[in-house]
Amino acid sequence: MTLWSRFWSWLRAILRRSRIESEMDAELRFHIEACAEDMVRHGVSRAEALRRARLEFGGIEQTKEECRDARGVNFIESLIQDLRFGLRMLRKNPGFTAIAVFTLALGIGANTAIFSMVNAVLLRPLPYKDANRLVTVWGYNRARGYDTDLVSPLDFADWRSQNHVFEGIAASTDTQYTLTGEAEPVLIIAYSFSADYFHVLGVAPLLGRTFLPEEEQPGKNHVAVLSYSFWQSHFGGNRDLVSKSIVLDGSPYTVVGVMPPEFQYPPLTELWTPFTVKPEAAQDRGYRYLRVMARLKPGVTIHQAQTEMNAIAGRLAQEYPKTNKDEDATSLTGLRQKISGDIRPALLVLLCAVSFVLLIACANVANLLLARAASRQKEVAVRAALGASRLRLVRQFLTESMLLGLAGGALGLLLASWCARAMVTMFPPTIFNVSIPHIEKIPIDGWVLGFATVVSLFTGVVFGLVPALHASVNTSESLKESGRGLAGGTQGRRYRSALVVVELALSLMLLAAAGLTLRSFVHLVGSDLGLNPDHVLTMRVLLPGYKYKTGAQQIAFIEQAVDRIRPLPGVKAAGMVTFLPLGGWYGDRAVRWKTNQRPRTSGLSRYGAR
Amino acid sequence: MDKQLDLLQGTLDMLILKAVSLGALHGYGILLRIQQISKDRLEIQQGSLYPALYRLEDQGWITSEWGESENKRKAKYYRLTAAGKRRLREEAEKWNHMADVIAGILRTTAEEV
Repeated sequence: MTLWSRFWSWLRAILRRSRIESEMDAELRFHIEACAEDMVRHGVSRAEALRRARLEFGGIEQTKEECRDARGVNFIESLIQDLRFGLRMLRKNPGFTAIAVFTLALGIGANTAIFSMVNAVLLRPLPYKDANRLVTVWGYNRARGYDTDLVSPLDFADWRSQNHVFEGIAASTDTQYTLTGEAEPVLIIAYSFSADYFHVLGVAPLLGRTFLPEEEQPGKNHVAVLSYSFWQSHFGGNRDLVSKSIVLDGSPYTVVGVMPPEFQYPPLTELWTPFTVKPEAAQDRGYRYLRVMARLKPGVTIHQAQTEMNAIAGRLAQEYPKTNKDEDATSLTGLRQKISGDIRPALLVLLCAVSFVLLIACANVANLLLARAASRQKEVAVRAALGASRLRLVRQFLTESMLLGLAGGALGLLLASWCARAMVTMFPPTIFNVSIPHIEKIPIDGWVLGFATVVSLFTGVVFGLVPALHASVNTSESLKESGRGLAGGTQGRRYRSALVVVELALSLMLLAAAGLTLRSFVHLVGSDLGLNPDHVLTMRVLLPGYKYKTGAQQIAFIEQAVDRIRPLPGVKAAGMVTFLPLGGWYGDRAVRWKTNQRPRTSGLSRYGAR
Repeated sequence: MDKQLDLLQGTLDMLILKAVSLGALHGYGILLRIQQISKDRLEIQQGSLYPALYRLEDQGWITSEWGESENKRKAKYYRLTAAGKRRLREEAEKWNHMADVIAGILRTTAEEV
């Protein structure tokens, strides 16, 4: 019999309890009467026949109890009894109940909140087909230990044609456009995708299509795919926009498609254009600016792919020593790992910390329960004397503690859903240089609900088991002890001391960890940047390339702007720089060393704040 | 009439399945049927019959429905299910096999060992 049908028979048994009882009664009565009638037919008087029939049948109540057991109904009935009794006990001690529930709510709430974050960041499936086969592929400069190097278009072309491990491999690069012709000009964060990029990710557009291979060629590349949010905010979700033109950087681009709302890759991208190789990169293998994404063939492991890609990179390094001598390897990272990035260990540490908080809450409540068990020993003794087995008593106490756990869990879930909103601010959308995922909301979904329920029930067992075992033991002793007015007995006191020790130890650990974290934070805030950021304002200016074509034009604009900013009241000094200090990834630049004397590293150096 | 035998442990279920395999019966009818087939040589505790019936129904080997008895009274009739039929066959095979083995052992004489 399957668990499911057993469950149904239980449920039926509970719902139709009175009917089943009366049916059972009727069935047994029929038996006895039929038996008696047979005897009447053989000449026995009716009264005597009934008496003999009952005698032959044996204990009717006992039979009924056995029948109930045979259906597995008794288990459920006693559970309902325990629940009812447990609720009554909790209502009778509102002070105790409130403290216990609130303590547990804090513990379970903290755990659920952090879990909802872990769920959103690490566990929820990425919105791509078979996302576990998606990997990011980077160059690996072993000489400098730089393992997430961008890739040059020429290298990429060789990777694509020579590998046998990927179903598809696609490249992208970030770019910006100025959108004009709709209200005010807007700066747009965009990405250039090679034509098969969407295909590699396994996403289909909501409207229209994605890019065609020929749209990678200059002249045909003035097409765009919009993100759902950009389409909504700037074009009001107008479905007619597809195949119409918008003006980017002063030239018309045809909108060929709109992506579905859940597609946000890379995060915050507002539109995608086809990727076209920059003219200067078409000849120069050292011109590295592409990010590469690939889909593993089914059955190929990331390790196998890594081996093959390294072999290809090694061949290229031998073939083109001038540009590729140090780029003789690659590094592959699963997309999930890449996206969750630096936050994974932090989240796991947080999860550990809150589980300690929950343990402390458990110890507290267990202590309360033990203290209360002392006052309930008489009750237990009476129940045991009336025939309740130890198992039955433990079950009753555990039911009570699980009720407490569930009540705490419900309140905790409330706290967690409130926290989840606040925690979104831990993922600021404006930071690009730290590798943390972009998150807009932390949903309280089925997984989080399930987690909270399991933790609540588990918590109920953790803090309830020792008090339950303790309360149900020595039942005969307690009648005598309670007569002498002892509270809890020696064993109860020992349990409680042990719990206090555990609590103190856990609290100290947490306190030390929190103190260290705080110290690091204070250090971080107070650390010397090597510059004085006090009263310094920064501003980012991106000149539209179609208007300021040459470097000289751009420099002229900036110089003019700075000259006009300097005399403004309140301005002490003004300056310009290509990249702000400590600006992260965008601060990376390559310089060429033109000297006969060989520098300590190779011909190409990288500087930047990273 | 021979002296009545106490039922061997675990055989009641098989006997009930056999009894209802011959046609739907109410509890008392099952009792009578078993006694009739056994020519009154088996003693069945009436009280133990019903828990066994409930257990067999819970396992899905028999089903029940209310009907009218010979003397126009409402009675609960039990019927064998397909699973019950299979179960009965298995039990009977097992029983016969066991009986053969035991009988073989008991027949053994000193010379045969």
